Amino acid sequence: MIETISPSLAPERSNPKSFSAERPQSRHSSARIAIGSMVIVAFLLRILVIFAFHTYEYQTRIITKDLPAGSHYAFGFETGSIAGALARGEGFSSPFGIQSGPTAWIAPVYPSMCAVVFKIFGIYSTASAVAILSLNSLFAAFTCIPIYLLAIRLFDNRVAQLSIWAWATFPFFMRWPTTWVWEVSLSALLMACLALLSIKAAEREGQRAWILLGLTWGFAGLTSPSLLAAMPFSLLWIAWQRKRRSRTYAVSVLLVIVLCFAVMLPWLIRNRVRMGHYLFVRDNFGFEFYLGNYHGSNGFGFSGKHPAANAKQLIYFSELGEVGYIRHFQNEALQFVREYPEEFVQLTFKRFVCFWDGSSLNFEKREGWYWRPWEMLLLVIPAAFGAALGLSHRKPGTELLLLIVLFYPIPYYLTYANVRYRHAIEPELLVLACFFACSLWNHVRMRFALAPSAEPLEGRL
Amino acid sequence: MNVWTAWFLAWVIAGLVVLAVIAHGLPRQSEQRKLNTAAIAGWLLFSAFAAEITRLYLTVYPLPAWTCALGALGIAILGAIVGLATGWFIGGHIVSRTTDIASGALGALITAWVEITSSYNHAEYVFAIMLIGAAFATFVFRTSLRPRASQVRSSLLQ
Repeated sequence: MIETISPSLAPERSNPKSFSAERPQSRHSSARIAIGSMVIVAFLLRILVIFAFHTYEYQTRIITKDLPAGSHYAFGFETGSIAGALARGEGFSSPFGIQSGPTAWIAPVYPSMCAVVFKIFGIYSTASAVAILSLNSLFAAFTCIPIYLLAIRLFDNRVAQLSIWAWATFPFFMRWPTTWVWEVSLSALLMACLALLSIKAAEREGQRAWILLGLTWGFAGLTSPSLLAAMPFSLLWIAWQRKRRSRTYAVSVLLVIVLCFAVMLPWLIRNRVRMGHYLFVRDNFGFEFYLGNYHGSNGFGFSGKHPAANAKQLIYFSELGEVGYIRHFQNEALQFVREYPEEFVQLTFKRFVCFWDGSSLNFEKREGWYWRPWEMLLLVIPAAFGAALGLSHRKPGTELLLLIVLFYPIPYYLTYANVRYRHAIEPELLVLACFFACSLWNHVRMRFALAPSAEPLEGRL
Repeated sequence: MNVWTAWFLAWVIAGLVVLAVIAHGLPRQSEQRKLNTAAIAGWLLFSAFAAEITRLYLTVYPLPAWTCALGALGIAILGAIVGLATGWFIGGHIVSRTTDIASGALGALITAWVEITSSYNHAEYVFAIMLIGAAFATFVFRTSLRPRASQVRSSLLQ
């Protein structure tokens, strides 16, 4: 029987409950340089992909087939359409390429950013496509910072280095920022920041981390309300961590919720005034729920029922108005759930499975080298092993990452699963995967005596 | 006996046999032995859910019972081999080889069931995922069922 100890993990064993081991000041400057370099490398590589593969042409191509949403709809779909309306001075409106009045179909932050780009570089122009994809790339590059800080707090420097290298250089992580005009890159950055801030709030005294956490949750809600699905679980985790250390948490958790709501409040008031109803940040959940839930559905949203692809539906949308249209289909979906509860459960389970194994890609048009179901497993499988290992090691913070990655997709389990939606939690999955990769490499070296310094430590513990 | 009951019983028996083998492999003083009640309750719930999903699947793809039984046997054998290999790779003497075999078989059965009934993956992916599922189950059992007092551990389980 041979017992060996992982050198990288050994220092933390002395204080396994702490989030981070104390690091000398001199290492901070070298870490800053390493992170800064990786941010630049990540950004430049993504720009290279945009120009090498002409990914902006996907946005600027003119749709020649008879699509009711118009010939420029490929440029960001609902996001691009709303951004175009904003840039033309028509307000936050018209998600389907035709003038249909004010909307809350999409959350406001990202279309507003796109509208600013349209104002500067022209609506639906090639320059705008390049600028928006570059902006996405910038968000993706900045994600290196929270990834590094998360990994070094939860695990060690080696895991942190590997994580940012992988994030910066693997083509797998480049596909969404460089090809899609959508908020997924910004969502990934925000979710990584939120995980980091949650850990800080759990371990620190003072209100600064809590205030920042509340404001960031609010901004995240205005960017993609789906991110908020992880909020209750993350706050419960913080409360649990602080309770274990006999620290106060109730007032601070309340502060986070109030601040989050306060940040979103102006948009909610706008929705009440402009849309005439009390709506949340986005109002289209009921319709998306209908797209994935009807008798005979395969569990994935059928675009043929979408107003952007179906002229009859677009007319219906114009006649009923956005809120009426959504309520109509939401009621149909709820009727389906009441009539066929087993089928709904089966579809929800299918969506859960397909969200994680990437098999929903088999229903999508293959768009070049970056679309393969097995690639989705390359991240999920080591991340699952990493989560099991982290929980077994009692690494504080592993539970948080696990809660985030399991509960963030709740809206997609209920509506329909698209691999694009997974990008928001890929930084957390990557950190867990890199933890497993480092532990595995260490184990292989020890197990098969590849390391010259590997010394059996039988009986030393 | 209707389809749901048959599948429920099949899942319950298979799972309880495997859990019994794993529990048998644990040291007598192990804290995890106390988790048996929770594990049995959890398994009964899972079995009910699995039986319903299987019933719904079989209404669309009506496979004969002997095909299902032979398929399950083949999957369990493959899973057992992968479990054994994973246990060897992890090393250490935490739990018995029987536990590795049992957890590998259970992992392969669950993963294959999930992929066959609820995924849209092609056969080669299903096969690969099933093998990984077996390895993962063994890994999870090894990491979560280790006796705390043990001084003999694998470097991967440190």
